Amino acid sequence: MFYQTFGSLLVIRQDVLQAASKPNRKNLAPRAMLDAERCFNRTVGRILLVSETRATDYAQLAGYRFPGATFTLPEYVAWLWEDAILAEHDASVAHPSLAFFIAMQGTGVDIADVMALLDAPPDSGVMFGENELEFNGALRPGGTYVCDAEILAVERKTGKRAGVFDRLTFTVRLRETAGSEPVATSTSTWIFPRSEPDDG
Amino acid sequence: MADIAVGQQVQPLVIETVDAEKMKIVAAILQDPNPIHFDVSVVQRLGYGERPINQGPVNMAWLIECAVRFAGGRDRLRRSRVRFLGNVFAGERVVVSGSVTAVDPADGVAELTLEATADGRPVLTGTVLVTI
Repeated sequence: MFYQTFGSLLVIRQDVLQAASKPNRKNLAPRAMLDAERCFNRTVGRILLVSETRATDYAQLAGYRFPGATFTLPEYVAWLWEDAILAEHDASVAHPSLAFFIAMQGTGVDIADVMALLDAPPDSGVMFGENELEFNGALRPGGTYVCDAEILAVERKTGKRAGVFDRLTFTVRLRETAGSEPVATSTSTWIFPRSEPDDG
Repeated sequence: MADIAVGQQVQPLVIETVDAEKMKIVAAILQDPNPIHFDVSVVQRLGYGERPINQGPVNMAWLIECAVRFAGGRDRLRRSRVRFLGNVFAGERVVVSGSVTAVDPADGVAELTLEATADGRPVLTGTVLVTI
């Protein structure tokens, strides 16, 4: 369970959960769990500093499943995306890079939520590291996708240029119907800076 | 697609000027609250310079678009793997280029190895598998 990975913070988080009127946290839905996390991170969490001790706690996020979601790609979003990336408009086949967008929607959380999972405020300089998209078919504007998502790993790294950072890897599978083979899979790695780079 | 051979160059994709205004639209589309894409004061405070930073997925989209044009269709993309090497700033000129690095006639696929530069600086590398 996610709340068990942050042992030193468990007492505080139990308070948050109780405040969220969830008497039995064993039955807490992932979405409610994440809401509680957001509440925590946006209030109490800001006073906490990332420490080496907690780095191992983040590693225990591996296997954490996001709530997941069923998402319909709005046709106007497909059009706006094509416009933003200077690609031709195509009403029948969505741009493959939209798999990333659908995947993010398919986690059932937004980017701020993912940042909050690792206690990173929006202006903390989170960066993309890597991404892999795999396709077994084309994406369609207006198409509906059933998505499931999970964290594969969180690794604490140190680089001369980047300083100390956490490397989050998570994957999202996009299916046209529940249980079918994924039409696309997105696996992303995000970089969470934890200290100033070494200028030397 | 016929006559695809290892070493064949891919027609480069050129973005003459990265538009800061489009970053704002993309931030709204992606629901991305990171202010480095629209608030110069935050970019400065974080030590990244004086101009907004383009969203990584857009840089990735340009690399994919280059492969899609080579392959002749969006539905020909089988897999893309990209690594983000650096930031792309508003006003920069982005060029995606590369070549065919493998061909598998039996599976009907070709692998492209691509690189994107911003004002000549490497910012993204990737391999893309396309149907031929």
